[in-house]
Amino acid sequence: MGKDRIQLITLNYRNTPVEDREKLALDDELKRRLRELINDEIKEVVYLFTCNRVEFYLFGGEGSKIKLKEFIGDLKDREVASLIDKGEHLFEKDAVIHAFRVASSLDSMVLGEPQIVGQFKSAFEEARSLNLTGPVLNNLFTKAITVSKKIRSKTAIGEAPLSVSHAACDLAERVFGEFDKCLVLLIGAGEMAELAATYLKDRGVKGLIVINRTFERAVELAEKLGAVAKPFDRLKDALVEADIVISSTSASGFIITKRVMEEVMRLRRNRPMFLIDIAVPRDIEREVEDLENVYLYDVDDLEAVVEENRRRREKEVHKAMLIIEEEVEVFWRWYENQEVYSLIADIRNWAEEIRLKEMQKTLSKLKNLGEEERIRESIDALTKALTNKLLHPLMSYAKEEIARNNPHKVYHILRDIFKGGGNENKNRN
Amino acid sequence: MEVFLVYTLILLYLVSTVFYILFIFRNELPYARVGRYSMFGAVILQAILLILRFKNLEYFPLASMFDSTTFFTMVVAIIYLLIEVKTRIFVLGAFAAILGLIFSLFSTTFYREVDVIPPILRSYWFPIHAVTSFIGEGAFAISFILSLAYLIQERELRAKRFSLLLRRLPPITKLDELNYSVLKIGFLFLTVGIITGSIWASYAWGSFWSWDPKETWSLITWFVYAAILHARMTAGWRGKRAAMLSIVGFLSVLFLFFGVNLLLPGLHTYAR
Repeated sequence: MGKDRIQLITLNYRNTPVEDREKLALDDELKRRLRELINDEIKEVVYLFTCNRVEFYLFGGEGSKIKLKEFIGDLKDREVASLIDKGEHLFEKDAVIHAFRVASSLDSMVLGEPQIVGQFKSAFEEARSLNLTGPVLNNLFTKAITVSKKIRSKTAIGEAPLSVSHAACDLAERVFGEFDKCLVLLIGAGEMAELAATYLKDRGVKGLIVINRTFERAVELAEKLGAVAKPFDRLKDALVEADIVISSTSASGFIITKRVMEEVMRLRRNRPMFLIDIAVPRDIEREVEDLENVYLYDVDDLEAVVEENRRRREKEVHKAMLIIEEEVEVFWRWYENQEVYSLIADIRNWAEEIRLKEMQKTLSKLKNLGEEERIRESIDALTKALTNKLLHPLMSYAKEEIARNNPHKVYHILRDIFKGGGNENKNRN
Repeated sequence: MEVFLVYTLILLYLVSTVFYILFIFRNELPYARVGRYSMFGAVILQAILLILRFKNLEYFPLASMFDSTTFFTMVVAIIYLLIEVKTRIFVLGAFAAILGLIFSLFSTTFYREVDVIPPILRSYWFPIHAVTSFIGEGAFAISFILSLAYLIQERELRAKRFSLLLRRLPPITKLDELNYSVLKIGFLFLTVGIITGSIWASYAWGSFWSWDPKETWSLITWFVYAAILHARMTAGWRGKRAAMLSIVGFLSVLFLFFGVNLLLPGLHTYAR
C-alpha cells in the first residue's frame, strides 16, 4: 500500500461528451452510498456534478481509481464504470490547482460564470454532511472557496456579462437603475424576444406589453409571459408608455423611424428610452439614436459588447492565476505538514497498539496475583514510559526538522523506516 | 495653529481623493470608507478652524475670502456626505473630494491673519444671508458633480462599450433624479439668500437693491437655475440638456463667488 495522495478524476466538457457525463449522475440515494467507498484505500471523497463536469476528488492510495471504478460498477454497470478511464486523472499539486481553478470559474466553459462557486460549495457541504470528507479535502475545499471569493473581488473575471440578452439587460440597468418602474414593450413574438423578456421579468420590471402584426400571436405570448397584448396600430401609444423596447419582427422595413420617435419623445416628455433591436433586417432606424435620451442597441452592438467583455475576462485570467499559484503554495505547506503529522500519529498509534497487546499478554499471565489493580496500573505506566522514551529521539528529530521546514525529509525517512505508516509492521507482528 | 489645521485638512482631502479613486478601480467598500472618513475629518477641521477664527474675531467668521471659501468647501462636503449616506452611492466621492481639494488649496491663497471686520457685517442678517446663500451654492456644486457624472455616463452608454466607468457610475436616471432634487434645494436656498440679503441691504445701505456686481450676478445665477427648473417642468428638459445647463449654472456660481469679489469692485468688496 502506497502513500495517500490527493487525486482527482475529472470528466468535463473538454474530454467527455455530455451524453457520457450524464450517465455518472448520482441521485441522493446513490450519493449516500458513496459512504461505502471510504475504506483503507480511499480516505476521503467529494463528488461534484454540474452541466459541464463530473469530478471525483479523492484522498487515498494507489488503488483509489480502481476502487472507484469497482464502486461505480456496483452502483451502475460496468460500461458506465469504464467511463472513469476517459477522465483525466490528476494527482497532488495538479489536482489542487485544478480544484482552485474550477471553484474560481477559470475552468468553466463560460469563463467567470458565477454558478460554479455555489455548485462547488454545495458539493462539498453534501460530502461533509455524509461524512465523506476528512481533514485534507475539508481544507482543500474551504481554501478553494476562499480563493474563488478573493479572485472575484480582486479581478474583473466575473464582471461584464457574456450573453446578448444578459448584456442588454445590464446596459438597460445602467440607464434606469432598478427596473421596478420600467415598462417593457415587445414588438414581434419571436423566440429571442421572449427570452429577453423573461429575463427582464425575472429582474422585476413593472409590466410587459406585447405587440404583434397578428394579434392572436400577441395574445398567446402575452398569456405566457403575464403581459398585456395590444394591436399593432397602437404601437405609438405603447412607445410613449414603455421604457425598454425589444423589437424582433420579421418585417423588411423599419417599424420605428426617427420621425416617429421624435414625436414619441415629445409626448413622453423626454423620459429616457432603451431600445433593443434584435431583428435582422433591423426594425429601428439607426438615426433614432441621435435623439436625446434615446439609447439604441442592435444585435451587432450587443455582440460587440459581449465579445469585448469576453476579451476583458480573458485578460483577467493571468491575474487570477497569480493568485491561485500563491494560494496553492499556502495550501501545500499545510498539506505537507499534515502528511507528516498524520504519519507521526500513525506511528504513535502503532506503538500504542503494540504496547496494549503486550501488556494484555503479561497481565493474563499474572492473573492469579493479588492486588491486580495496582499491578495493572504500574505495568500500564511502565509500558507507556517505555514506548514514549523509545520514541522520544524520533519524535524530537521530527519536530526539529519540521520546524526547520523539512517536513518532506521527515516524511520520507519515517515512511522508509515504518514502511507505510506502521501498517506493515503491525501486520508482521 | 490655524496654518497647521489648514495643511492637515488639505492633506485629508488629498487622502480622500486618492481612496475614492482607488475605490472606483477596486470596487471594495473599505477604500470608500477611508475616503468618507478622511473627508469627514476635513470637515471637522474646517469647523474647528472657523470656530477658532470666530473666537478671535468675535463675530461670524465669513468676513474674508479665506473664511468664505473654507465655509463653502465645508458645506459642499457636508451635502455630499449626507447624499452618500442616504443613497449609498460612493463613486461620486472622487469628484467631491477633488472639488474639496481644489477649493481648500485655493483658499490658502486668500489666507490672512484676522484683522478688524467692517462694522457693516455686524448685523443679524449677515449670518442668515451668508449661510443660506452658501448652502444654495453648495447644492449647486453637488449638482455640478452629478451633471459631470451624468455626461460621462451618457457618453459611455453611447460609446456602446461595457467600460469600467459605465459599470461603476450610477444609472443615468438615478443621477438625473438626484440632480433634480439637489437643484430644487439649491434654488430654494439661493432664493432665500437673495431675499435675506436684500433685507439686510435695506438696513445697511438703506435700499433693498443697488445693482452692485454681486447682486447682479446673483440675480443672473438665480435666472440660470430658474430656467433649468422651468424648462424641466414645462418642456421636459432632462438628462443631457439639464446637465449641461447645470454646469453653466455652476460656472456662474463660481464667478459669483470668486470672480465678482476679485475682479469687479462693488459694495461686497470687503470680502476679499
